[in-house]
Amino acid sequence: MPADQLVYPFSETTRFLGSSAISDYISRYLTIIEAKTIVVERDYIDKDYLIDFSKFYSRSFNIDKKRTTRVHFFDHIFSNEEFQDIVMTGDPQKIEQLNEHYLGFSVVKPIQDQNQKDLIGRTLLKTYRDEENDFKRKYLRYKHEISLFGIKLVIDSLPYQTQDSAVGGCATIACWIVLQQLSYKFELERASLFEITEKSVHIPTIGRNFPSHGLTMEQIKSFFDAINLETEFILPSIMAESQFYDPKVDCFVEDAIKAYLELGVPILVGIALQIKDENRSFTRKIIDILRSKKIDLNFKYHAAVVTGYKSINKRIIELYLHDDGIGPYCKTLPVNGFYKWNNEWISRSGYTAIHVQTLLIPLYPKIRLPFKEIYIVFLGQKRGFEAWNRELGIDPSLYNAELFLMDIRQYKQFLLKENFVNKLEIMLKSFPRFLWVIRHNYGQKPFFDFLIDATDVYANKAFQVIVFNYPVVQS
Amino acid sequence: MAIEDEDQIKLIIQSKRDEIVGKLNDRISQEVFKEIEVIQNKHDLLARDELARPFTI
Repeated sequence: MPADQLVYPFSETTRFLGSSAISDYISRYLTIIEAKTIVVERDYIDKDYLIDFSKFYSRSFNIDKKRTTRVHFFDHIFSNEEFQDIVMTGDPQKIEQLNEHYLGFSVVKPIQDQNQKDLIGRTLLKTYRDEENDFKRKYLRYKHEISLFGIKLVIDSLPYQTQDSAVGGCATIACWIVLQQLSYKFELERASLFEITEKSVHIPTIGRNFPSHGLTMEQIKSFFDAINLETEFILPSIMAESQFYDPKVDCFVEDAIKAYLELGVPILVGIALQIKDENRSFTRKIIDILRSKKIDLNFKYHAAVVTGYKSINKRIIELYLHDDGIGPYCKTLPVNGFYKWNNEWISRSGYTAIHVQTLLIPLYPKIRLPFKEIYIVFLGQKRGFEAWNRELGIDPSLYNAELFLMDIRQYKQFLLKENFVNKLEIMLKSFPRFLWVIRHNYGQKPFFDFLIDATDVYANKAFQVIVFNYPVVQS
Repeated sequence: MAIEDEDQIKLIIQSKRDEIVGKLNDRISQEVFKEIEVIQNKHDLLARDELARPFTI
C-alpha cells in the first residue's frame, strides 16, 4: 500500500485491526455509532506498548518491532486528498469539522495472540448517546487530547485494551482500566500491563509470573496497595443476607454500581462463567480433592470493569463493561436482577450463565467509611420510609431511595440548583471532601438527603440532613 | 396503582410532607449498628476463600 495513502473507507477496517474477536467487536460497535471513514497512522509510538516492549518483548528472539499502528475513526466521508490538504494547511474550520465527527482510535500492536491474531492495544471509542427517549446513560470517561499528524482531536472516553497474556491476563487488564480512570480522578501515576503484573506478583502463587496466567484477588489488592490506594472488597451474596434486605425491591449490585459510579470510581467485578455440562476425564480422587478445596469445575473465573449504565426512572436497566474478552462499553443485561448477567460471554462464547461473585473497589485512602456499613444504614432507612408510606397511605410506587458517594464539589453544585430548608446556612457551611448521600425521593424528586461524612471512621449520625421543599401545587 | 399525573403526585406528597418531616432525624439506630456487625462478621469469614481465587480467563 502506498505510504501516503492514509484515508480508507470504514469497510476496510479489518485490514488494519485484524480478525480477532475483539477487533470484530470494535467494528460492530463502530458500525452502531455510524463510522464511515478511517485514517491510518503507521509507525505510531504507544507508550504502554513501548514500556511492555522494553521490559519484556525486547528480550524475545522473534519480536523486534516497537512501533504500532493507530487507526482513527470518523462518522463522515472524506478523501485522502481532502485529509492531506488539512495536514498541509491546518485549516481551523476543517479541523473543527474533523473533531465533530471523531469517534476515537484503536492501537494495533505488532504482536499476535496464540491464534496468530493481531493484539488490540489502547483504544478510545466515543460512547453511545447520553440520552435517548426516556433513557439516560452514565459513563466513566474523561477528555483525551490526541495529536494526529499535528491535528488536535478530542475524545471523551475511557481507555481499553485487550488481554496480552505474555504480560498480563484479564485481571491485569482490569487493573489497567481501573487505573486509567483513577489516575485521572485522583492524579495517580499510570502503569503498563507488565508493570501492573510485576507489582501484583509480590504475593506468590504456584504459577509463573510471566507469561502471566492471571491474578488472584489478593494479588489485585496487593497492586492497589502498592500504588497507595485502599480497596473495598465485597461479596454481594452476603450483603443480600441482611435482615433489612428485601429482594423484591433491593438489588445490592445495582445499588453499589450507582453509588460508586456517581463519584467516577470504577468497580472491578469478579465473575464466574458457567460452563456447559461436559464429560471430563478427571478421576474420582481428583474431583474429591477439588471439592475439598471448594474448586468448582463448572466455572471459569474472569475479571471485568463496570464503566457505565443505562437507566430509566432512576433504575439501572443495562450495564456497560470494559471487558478484555469482549470489548469496551460492552452491553450487559441483568438476568432477574444484577446478580446474574447476560452478554457476549453467553451469546458468542457459549457459556451458560454469568454469576457476579465479588466486587473490588479501589479507593482514595481518605474515603474511610466502608460501603458495607453505609449500605446497611441505607437499607434500614429505606424500610423506615416504606413503613411510613404504608402508615400515611402513600402509594409505594411514588417512593424510591438512592445511595451515592460524592465529593463536596459535585454535591454543592447539585445543591445550588435545589430549593431546601436553611439553604444559605447549609451552602456556607464547610463540608468534608467525600460524602455518602442517602437520598429519599418522592415522584422522582429528592425529598430528604441524609449525609454521612465518608472521611470519618465511624458512622454514628448524619453530618447534615437536607429537607427539600417539594414543588407546591394549588389544589 | 401507578399515578401518572405529576400534579396529582405533588398534591399527595404536599399533603403528607409535614408528617414525614416530623419523623425524620439525623441518628442511626442501635438496630442498624447490630446488623452491621452481623453482616461484617459473615462477610469476613467467607471473604478469605474468595481472596485466593485466581482470575484466569
